[in-house]
Amino acid sequence: MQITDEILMAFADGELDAHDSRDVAAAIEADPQLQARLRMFSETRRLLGEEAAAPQPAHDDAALIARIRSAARAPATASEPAPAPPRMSAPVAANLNRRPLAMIAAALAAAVVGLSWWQFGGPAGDMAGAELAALDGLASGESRELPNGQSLVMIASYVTGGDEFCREYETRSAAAATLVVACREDGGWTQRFAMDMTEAEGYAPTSGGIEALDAFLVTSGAGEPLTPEEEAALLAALP
Amino acid sequence: MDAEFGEALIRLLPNLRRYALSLARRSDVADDLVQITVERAITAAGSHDPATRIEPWLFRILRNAFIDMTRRQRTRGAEVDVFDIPEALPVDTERGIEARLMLRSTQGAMRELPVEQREVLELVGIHELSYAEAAEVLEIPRGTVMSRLSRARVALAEKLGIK
Repeated sequence: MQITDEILMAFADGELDAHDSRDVAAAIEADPQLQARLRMFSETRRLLGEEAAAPQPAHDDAALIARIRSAARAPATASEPAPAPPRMSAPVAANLNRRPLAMIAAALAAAVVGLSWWQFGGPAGDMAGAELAALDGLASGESRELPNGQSLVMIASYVTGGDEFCREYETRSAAAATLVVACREDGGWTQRFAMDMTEAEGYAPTSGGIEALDAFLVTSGAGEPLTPEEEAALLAALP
Repeated sequence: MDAEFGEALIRLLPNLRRYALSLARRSDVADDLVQITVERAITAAGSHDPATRIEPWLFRILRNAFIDMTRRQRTRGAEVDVFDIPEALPVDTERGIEARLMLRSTQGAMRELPVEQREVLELVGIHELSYAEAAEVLEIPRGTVMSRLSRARVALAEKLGIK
């Protein structure tokens, strides 16, 4: 039996069944190197357990507890939409097309980020190979380090009114951040929208910052972001 | 939603808040995430399979809420990290300074790991989810949880000087 790191770790974590555990225990007994490796996995487990037991800041959850208890007393009907949480009441330009969560984020963005969009439409020749590879394979919500040291976060996928498959992502380094929407066109990816989100100190952002992206998405007829399943199906269909 | 489900939700509020903080790293955003998670859990209570633990189900709701939020969040460059605000952290207890320093360094080492590794460490190491439950929360195969987790543990051990 080949004892990999993963098997040793599963043994240390009690995730192996009894049969495999016996085999692994026998192999470990005969091999000092495996014993040392196992100690490392046990020790990291122990340290994480200590970290888990560390005291956490006290937090007043009275309002949430009251909310949960009242919901438990008066069962909501399945079709009734959840009431908007009170904290989501920041004033934002109405955009009925977007998820309510966009409101929080837009409010946060308007509060602190200076941004200026610098390109709107037109082809882009500066998408690096690594970015193209991420567009072809990275699921939304996942991130990847690029060879140039930037990190790329895939944000969402859309299908536009013209039935094009588009993907929104961020690239970010210590000094700069860029938001890009690229769409499939003629068998390749074309950059349709890019926005420099580099934080500018002391720069008071206009309220139009993040709306530029929303405006672009509405103009292009993009609907709600695709579900992970829909996105995966479209990615799998790429040549 | 029945009372038993509600009480379980209440009991897990600190766990949800801690997980939210590990994702968002800002206490105000973590508060929003917990609130959104509670609302969604109340609405969707009927879709939770009572035969399974409620923790992974709630964590998955919370994580999806976080992903939704980051889709439109443009503030990361200006975030205030909760771990940089001493008053946001618990005061020292009888655990002692030495133990505390060790804990801080575990936490510090975790923060230096890539987000994929930190996530599995958080779910399995801190919240004690099984590999299968972590896979459910992260919507990845169990084998991927194992490979990420073992890489994360090796990296953590290296950072902490554990041979």
